[in-house]
Amino acid sequence: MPVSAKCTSSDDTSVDEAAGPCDERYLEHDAFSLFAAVLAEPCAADASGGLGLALYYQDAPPAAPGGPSRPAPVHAALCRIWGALAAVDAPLHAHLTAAGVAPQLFMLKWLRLLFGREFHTDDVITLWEALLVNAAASHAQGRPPGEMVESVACAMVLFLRPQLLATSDFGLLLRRLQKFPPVEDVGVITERARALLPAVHAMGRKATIQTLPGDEAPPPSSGPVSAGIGFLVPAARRGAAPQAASASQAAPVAAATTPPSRFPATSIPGLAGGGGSSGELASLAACEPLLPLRPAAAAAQRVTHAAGAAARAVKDALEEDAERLAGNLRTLNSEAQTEISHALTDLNAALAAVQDGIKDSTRTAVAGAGSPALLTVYDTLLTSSRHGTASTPTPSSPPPPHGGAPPAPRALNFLGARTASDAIIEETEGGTADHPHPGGNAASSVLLAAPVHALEGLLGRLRARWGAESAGGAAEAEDAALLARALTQLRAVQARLAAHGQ
Amino acid sequence: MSGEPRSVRWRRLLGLLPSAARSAGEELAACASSRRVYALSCQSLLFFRDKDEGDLATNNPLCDNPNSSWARFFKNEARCAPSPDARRSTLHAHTPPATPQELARTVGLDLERLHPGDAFFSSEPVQRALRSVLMVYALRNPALSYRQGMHEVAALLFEVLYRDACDTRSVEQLVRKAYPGVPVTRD
Repeated sequence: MPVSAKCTSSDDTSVDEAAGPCDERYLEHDAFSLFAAVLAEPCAADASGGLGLALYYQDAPPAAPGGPSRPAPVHAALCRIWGALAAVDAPLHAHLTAAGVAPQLFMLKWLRLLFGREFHTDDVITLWEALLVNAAASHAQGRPPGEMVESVACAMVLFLRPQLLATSDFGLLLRRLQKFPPVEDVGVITERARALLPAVHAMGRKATIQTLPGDEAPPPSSGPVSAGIGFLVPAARRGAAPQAASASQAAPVAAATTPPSRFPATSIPGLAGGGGSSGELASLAACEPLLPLRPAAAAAQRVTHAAGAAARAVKDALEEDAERLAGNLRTLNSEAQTEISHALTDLNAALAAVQDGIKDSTRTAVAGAGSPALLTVYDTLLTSSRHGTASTPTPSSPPPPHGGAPPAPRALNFLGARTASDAIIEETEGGTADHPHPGGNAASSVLLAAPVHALEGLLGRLRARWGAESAGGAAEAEDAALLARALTQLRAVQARLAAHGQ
Repeated sequence: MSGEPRSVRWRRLLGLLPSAARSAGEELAACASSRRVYALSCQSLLFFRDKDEGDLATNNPLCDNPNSSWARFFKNEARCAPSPDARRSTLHAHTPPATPQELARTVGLDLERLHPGDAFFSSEPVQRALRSVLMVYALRNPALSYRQGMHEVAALLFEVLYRDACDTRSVEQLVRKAYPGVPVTRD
């Protein structure tokens, strides 16, 4: 049925009184009523129901003058979900928290789109039916309508339990949660969610709003006119870093030192660093929902996985670092300023090298996949992302003039590389490759060696400088820890790539 | 209950239609009244959309006709312009005040990127319908306005309604074929 011919012009205010509830002329009108009701809070006064979705979009209420700022309603919802998770599965909650994974990094999208991007359309419709049935039941009992929504979010995390427990890598954990795997039967999720309702309800009764891990500021609100994909991209991890640094620092070290060759090439990409008994591994392999990729595609995927994780970790740590360094410059003497502006130049150069290394190694792997079309797509993406970072200083570029104003910290654009990586993963999952190309990983491991070395040198110099200047203040120690964490992550990726390349 | 189209079931659950099938007349009245609310909202809120349409002689930015869509457009612009006080108070708020035109642009941009490549959602009538739905909601709820993500929720609801309308139509066609001359009504 063509909608074009049938949609009544909404400028016509006369309405056919005899039109039935499924009349094709009133699709737009009925869509509005449904949409408004899904967003609305149910009202006890009249019989009107609602799902209360607007709650997840609302901004934080304005703080009372002089009083503390109050969190946005969606923040309270995240607290309820995270609290319910802690109540029903403390080990999983502790595992995620220790790795620095906070719900606002992936759950805002779930709640605001009502899981619309996590499942197939028909499954989403089934899920929404369950949400609406439950909201109506909750309404009748005077309970908030969103409890089932929050239970479903909790159930989705629990659904991924085996895969989440298999790694401590922040990037891999987040990727798993942000790209929810295909679910065979969404009924499993709704069943589980129904069982979780009491736990979520109990959280709702607690008046206190807990603090989420890594959450000094309330989660970002999606502005009404944000034109980009702002709210879908997780908030920068900077908020999480200071608190999570100590906890997450141990994990990548373990990943780097554990022999990563326990997984055959067909197994879960990127999980090689995680330990576990063979029984655990077997169950993991059974849970992994990704279709077995053809070897070359799998190789490309591993590279992009690793590149994404490395890029994120390095970017977050170094961006904070650069900002803090720029701030410190004001309080130091001019000799130190010169020294540190040198260091910043080196930092940017090293970063540019890492970025290029990652892109080139990905390209090598893609080229190995033997699909010219894939390579064209990748090159296009690469060009566009390079275009965005045209002013990136290269290792050979001269250092900035010394003694003057400190160089403004460069906005480090890893997003381009990330987007390209994601696109490549989408492409390779389609399966266009026929020739295995394990060499791509080894090549990218070699490429990463130079930046790792550069970062090591830089860290040593900065430590020496800080030690001489102020005998290790707290801020300096934190700077060093951040840089060390980036380095550890990079080394872990390098080790993983080297192991896979063999 | 389970035999009903999904969109009808959902509207019962949300209180938009009487919870149990009572009299058919009551149900049709509920449908008509909610549709009238939307149609009137469209007329009063979305006139800027079609200000460029119509006869240029009677409908242009300089005409004197107070009922022309251009005149209503200017009146609405003046109403939406934030006062200096409002400007100050929203300095630290998350949401800058958006004029309907800005809103339309944002909504349009998001809708363009909704399910790219999908013939249904990229067709002009569906885009136009969703744009109107989201705009009317945003203008009726200025505190919340439009937020990115809402467009995907509205799109799925629209699809559910569309599927049901298609099913209903094909059932009616079957009945017409089997019993020619018998009027097919929904009550």
